[in-house]
Amino acid sequence: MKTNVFKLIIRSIAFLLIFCLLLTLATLVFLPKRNCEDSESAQVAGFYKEPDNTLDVLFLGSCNMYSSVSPVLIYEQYGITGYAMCCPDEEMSTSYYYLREALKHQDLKMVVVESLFLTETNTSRREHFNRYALDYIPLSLNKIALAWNISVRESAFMKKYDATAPDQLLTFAGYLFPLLRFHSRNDLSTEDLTDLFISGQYNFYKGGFPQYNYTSNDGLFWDKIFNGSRINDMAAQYVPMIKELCDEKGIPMIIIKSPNYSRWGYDDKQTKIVRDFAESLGVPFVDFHLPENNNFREWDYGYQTGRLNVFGVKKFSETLGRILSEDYGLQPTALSEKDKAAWDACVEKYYQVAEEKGCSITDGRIAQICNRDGAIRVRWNACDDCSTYSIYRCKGKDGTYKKLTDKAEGDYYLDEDVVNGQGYSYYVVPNEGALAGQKSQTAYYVYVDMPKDFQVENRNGKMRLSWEKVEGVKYYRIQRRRPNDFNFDTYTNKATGSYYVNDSNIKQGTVYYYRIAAKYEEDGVTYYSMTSVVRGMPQKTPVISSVSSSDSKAVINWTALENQDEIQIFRRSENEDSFKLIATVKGDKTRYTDKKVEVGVQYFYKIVSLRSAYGYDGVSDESNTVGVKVVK
Amino acid sequence: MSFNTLDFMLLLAGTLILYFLLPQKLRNPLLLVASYVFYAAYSLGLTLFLVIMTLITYVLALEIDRCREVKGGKVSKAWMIVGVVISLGTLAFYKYFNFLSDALAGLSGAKKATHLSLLVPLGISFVVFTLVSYLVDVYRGKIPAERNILKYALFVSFFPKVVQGPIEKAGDILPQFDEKHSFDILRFRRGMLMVLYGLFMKMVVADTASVAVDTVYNSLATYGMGSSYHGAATLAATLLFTFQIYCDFAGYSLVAIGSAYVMGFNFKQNFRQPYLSLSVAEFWRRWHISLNRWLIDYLYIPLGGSRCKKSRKYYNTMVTFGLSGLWHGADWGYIVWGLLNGLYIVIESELKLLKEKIRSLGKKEEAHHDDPRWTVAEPTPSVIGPAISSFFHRAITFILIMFSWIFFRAQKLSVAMVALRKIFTDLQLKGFITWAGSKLAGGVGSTLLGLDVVYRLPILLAGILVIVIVDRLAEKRDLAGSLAEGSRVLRWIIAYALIFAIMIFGVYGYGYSAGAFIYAGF
Repeated sequence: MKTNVFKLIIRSIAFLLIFCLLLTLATLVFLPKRNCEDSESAQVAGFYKEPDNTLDVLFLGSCNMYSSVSPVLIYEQYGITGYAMCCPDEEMSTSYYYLREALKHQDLKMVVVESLFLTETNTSRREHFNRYALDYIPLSLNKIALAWNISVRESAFMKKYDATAPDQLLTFAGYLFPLLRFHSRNDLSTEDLTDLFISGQYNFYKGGFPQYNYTSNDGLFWDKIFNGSRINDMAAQYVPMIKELCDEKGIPMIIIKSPNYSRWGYDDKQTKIVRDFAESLGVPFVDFHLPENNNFREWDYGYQTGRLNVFGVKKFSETLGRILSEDYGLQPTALSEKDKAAWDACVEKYYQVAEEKGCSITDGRIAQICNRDGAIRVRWNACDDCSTYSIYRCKGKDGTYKKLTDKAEGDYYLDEDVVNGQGYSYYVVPNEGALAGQKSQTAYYVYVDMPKDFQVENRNGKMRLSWEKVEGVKYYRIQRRRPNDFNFDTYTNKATGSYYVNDSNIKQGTVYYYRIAAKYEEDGVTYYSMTSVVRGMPQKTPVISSVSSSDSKAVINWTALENQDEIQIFRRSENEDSFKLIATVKGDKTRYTDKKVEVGVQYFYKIVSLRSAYGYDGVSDESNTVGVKVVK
Repeated sequence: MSFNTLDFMLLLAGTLILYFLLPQKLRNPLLLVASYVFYAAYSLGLTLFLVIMTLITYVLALEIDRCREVKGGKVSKAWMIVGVVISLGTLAFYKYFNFLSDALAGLSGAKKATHLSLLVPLGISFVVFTLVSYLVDVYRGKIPAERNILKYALFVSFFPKVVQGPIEKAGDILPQFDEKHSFDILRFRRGMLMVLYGLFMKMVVADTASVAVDTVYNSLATYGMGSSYHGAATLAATLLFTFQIYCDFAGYSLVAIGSAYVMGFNFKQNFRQPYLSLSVAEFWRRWHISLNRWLIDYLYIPLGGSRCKKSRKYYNTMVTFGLSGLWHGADWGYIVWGLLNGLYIVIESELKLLKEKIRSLGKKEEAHHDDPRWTVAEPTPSVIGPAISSFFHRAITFILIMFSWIFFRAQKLSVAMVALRKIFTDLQLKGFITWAGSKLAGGVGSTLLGLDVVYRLPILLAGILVIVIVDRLAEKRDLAGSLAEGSRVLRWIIAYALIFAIMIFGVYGYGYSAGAFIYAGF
């Protein structure tokens, strides 16, 4: 049949267009739905809902950026609009291509790059992070380039561990056409049909993702581990490209280190490495790491994994906004009435959601209530125009409120007139300013005494935790972590009595941190005391297995020890009163030959093992004592 | 690379586009390059095997031709034998060395057999049979030896057929490489529909069925009679394998034939609704047609075919089917499978009178001059009596074939015996039905024979239903051709349905390697 080329082309185009439409629909059904308001994985999608040329600042970076910054609160204070175009574990290559995408739609005035992934090793090998980066941006040349970039590394890595992992081409195709990846989902639900567009919905957080839970001041949370690391290859390649792109468009760029309570946050060497790198590129570097450069109070603004909680976000955003506005002279774009109304609505919703989640950030409202040592601490959002506050309290949930003080300053009050096991309700009233006389919401808490004298002791390689019992408390929560863990894991929620022996999954010679909180339950709600943290190191007591003598020498053998740095050998002769240190050998040795002995003399030996880790110097208990008479 | 991979689809698309854009003189070189790229994607080293075998048989064929008039054709025959021995010897070495070593060790009572760890050239059985067919045809004077080395190399390596056939004769294919093929929209539509349907058969039906089949048969292989799967489950798995192997192999053939068809090449049909056969003999005229034609032309007839006394004819039949079984796999299970089918043929021959009586209900028979099996069946007239009779014969044939697949799938005789014992002594049908019912009612997360009951199992059953309906329709007409020429709306609906069925229900991606075609191992 003779082919009419023109008709063929038209029909082919029509066929392809219908195919694309069907493919899009099928993809929308099968693509896992991620609500950017509930999960930190689809924030970038909302960027495409922003009207063109309405954003002043683009924030780039990983979770450390989007959980620290709130473009909404920066707008509230300074009128500067922005979007956190971020995804979990966002690498610099992703940041680069995100910037390229952003520049297609926005006339940016500033680019802010968070520094965590300048030195963190790349995690693009893990598919789910790559999915967060790619699945929710529309198909474009940038997406194709980024998908290719990611798929090369991901498939090479995955093939080492899973022979059935798809090859690079299918991986790449799966990022461009997610249906190829998610086609085998057998967990489809009605929501997959009804919530087709939820992942790409308007993001009132503007890419931020505040953490609404918060930690109380629980003492030492992180060791100051100074690793330093280095600028990773990805950053070395792509940060200069980001700079070049910014220069091309005439957009100032800064690199920041946002506050973080983890080991990374305290890593001054890492800070130096990033600062030097930024200098080499001619890019300003701003280190927000607490406590030197800002007003962050230690631990009050922390959350799991060391990131800021919602209160910290507010403080940090105000600080960052001030720096952008005052130090870098960033002037906000004049928004249309419609765009301004949209942003104002986001601000209102931001406060409303915080209120609903029990973490109010509204001025004059109670922000946080928790137990301290011997007190209940009530913290509120301080008003700029108020210096003193009145605190009211009643016992229980209903009752007559009495004024505790009218001279409370700052943003918190410690109520020390509390009884263990008693609940109290509070409200706060600003004494001056626009909110003078306005009562905050009431907040209720039960005071629980903190277990005193919490100790950890090494008992032949097992950790024995002990504490003073708290009156009226039945259970205690014990948590444990190792130096490089982000979080304390709950070891038990039902420790009773006054001691606990922890001996499972313990590695000898490793530092463990423990914290204990007394639990008090009332009406189905659990109230925790303040926790205290101790650390210890399990070290098995060495055992000398044998001692012998020949050739005018004494030889002692001991059972191999796990993960110890050194073994100290002590000796006393029959004529001496006390043991003296005679030698120190490496921790993996199991034998020592003592040549400095006299024939015919009886000697006694004992050993201890040493291990230093994370600033902790562990010394085991002494071994058994053995004796031998030296023979020729 | 396998047909059901993105790499192949890109190779095919790129080759098609370039084929019609390039001038005629560059098209064969293009196809040759594409074919070697296709083969080299499997193993660059074994591509050398293909090159060497191509060169050897090319030279030998020229010698056969040249020596035809010398010494009464004896030299020619000698070269032909040399070529056949080299080809078959290569096949025997790569594919059967370990098997023969085991057999010899077993006979001699040796404790351990010598095994070689060999990477078997992809499609070696098909390539070797293609080469043997070529050499013999040249010797017989049916075709002249091909002088154009590139054209010959292309014939041997042509990517749509090199791995799993169809085993095409040189006389049918070589002239096509000289034809000028213009882009024809009808050929494109028909060819692509065949490709899509072939991929559907393979990726949706065959690969899904393989999950259940492997679940049961691997358990039988590992635990023997201690396997928790009883006879009914084994029967169910065997039934699924019956469809798996059909969809796997026929699907591949369709992709091969369709791909070549788009470019203007005509391959012969390789499967013709085999499970609608009324007899085992007819089944073997509909199943893997190209292989059976090869076996008839180069084995059965040289042995004497049916032009001999009955015992010799039956002997020839058994040898042909036994070697067919051996060709399929280097294990006793395959051999027994082949012999069992041969036995079926022999028994059917003995019952020929009865079959002729059934056929006299509306079918005409044209006997092939050398092969009583190669008959052409015309559709049964549509009356109630013959319909019931046809159904009965189809059912019996299906059951007999399904039964023989037990040996094929088990591969090892010991595993086949376990399966048979399970079926005949430990059926537990009622228990299986109860157990299956509870699994089906289990909802999300519940699996039956390894298939989740909410998603994969319904897909499989729906897919099998589609196959059965399409086969029934295709028995009477050229479906692909009808769609290619018919309503555009219907054609597009079916095309989209196939494409999205493959994309959504196909077995590929994470957790699956490209489900290897069963016959790719042959």
